Amino acid sequence: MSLDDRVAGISCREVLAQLGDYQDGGLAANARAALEAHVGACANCAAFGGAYGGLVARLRERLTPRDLDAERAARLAARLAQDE
Amino acid sequence: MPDQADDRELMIRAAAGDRPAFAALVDRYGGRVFHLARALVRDDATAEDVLQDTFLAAWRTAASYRGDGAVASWLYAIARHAAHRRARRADQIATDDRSLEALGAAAGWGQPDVLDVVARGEDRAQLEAAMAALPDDDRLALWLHHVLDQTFDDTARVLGCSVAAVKSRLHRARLALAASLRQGGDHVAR
Repeated sequence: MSLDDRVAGISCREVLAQLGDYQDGGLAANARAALEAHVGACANCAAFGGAYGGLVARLRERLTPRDLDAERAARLAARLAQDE
Repeated sequence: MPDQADDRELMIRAAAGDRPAFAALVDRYGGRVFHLARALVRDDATAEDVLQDTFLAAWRTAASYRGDGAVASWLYAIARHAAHRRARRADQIATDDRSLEALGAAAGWGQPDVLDVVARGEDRAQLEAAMAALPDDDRLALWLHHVLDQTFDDTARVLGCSVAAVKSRLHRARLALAASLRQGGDHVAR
């Protein structure tokens, strides 16, 4: 199967191009429905879309910023206190 | 996520010389600025320099904050400039000029192992290594939007580009990140 194959009226290439907007909620309703119909019938795009969405979720879960450690915070406070 | 109206109130007070108000902002955003800097310069010592540069510049220029964007994105923009000044690295990764189709293929479209990237992304160290292999602005866009919860507008303000450009960059960056994870963080686009 190639990226040019059409399933449910759109090609895998078009799905790839629109996947970001789909993920971000930026697709119009008709485009969203077409993409979902394609993904529902195309195993490659279904797997890829799942991996794409899963990776975005992992970014949010795994890279949560931590607070400054106490020593670094103290050095920053001291540096700021020097600045008049 | 910190309250934006409260941030603005603290900034107004800091602009008038109120050190405790500024200290509250430092306490609120110090960790986020440090980790953003760490993603951009890649060693703790330089990231701490960027952290100090950022808050010194913010304190000195607090009166210039116009209130037309979130305080957080104003701080992140200062941090981005500070990181660029500090990190004139020889190994800086400028751009990734692969086509969207090439990125999709590298990210695993049509490959049986495509879902492995999600499992690899479970591991913070693997995720950070894969992020480190991305072009700087791709990595920054991912951090700002997905880790620091910046809106598209605020991400665009920090990156100095349009919202449409941010959305396009995020899509390419996610694909490049998947490609990098599949290749164990070894892929570096130069």
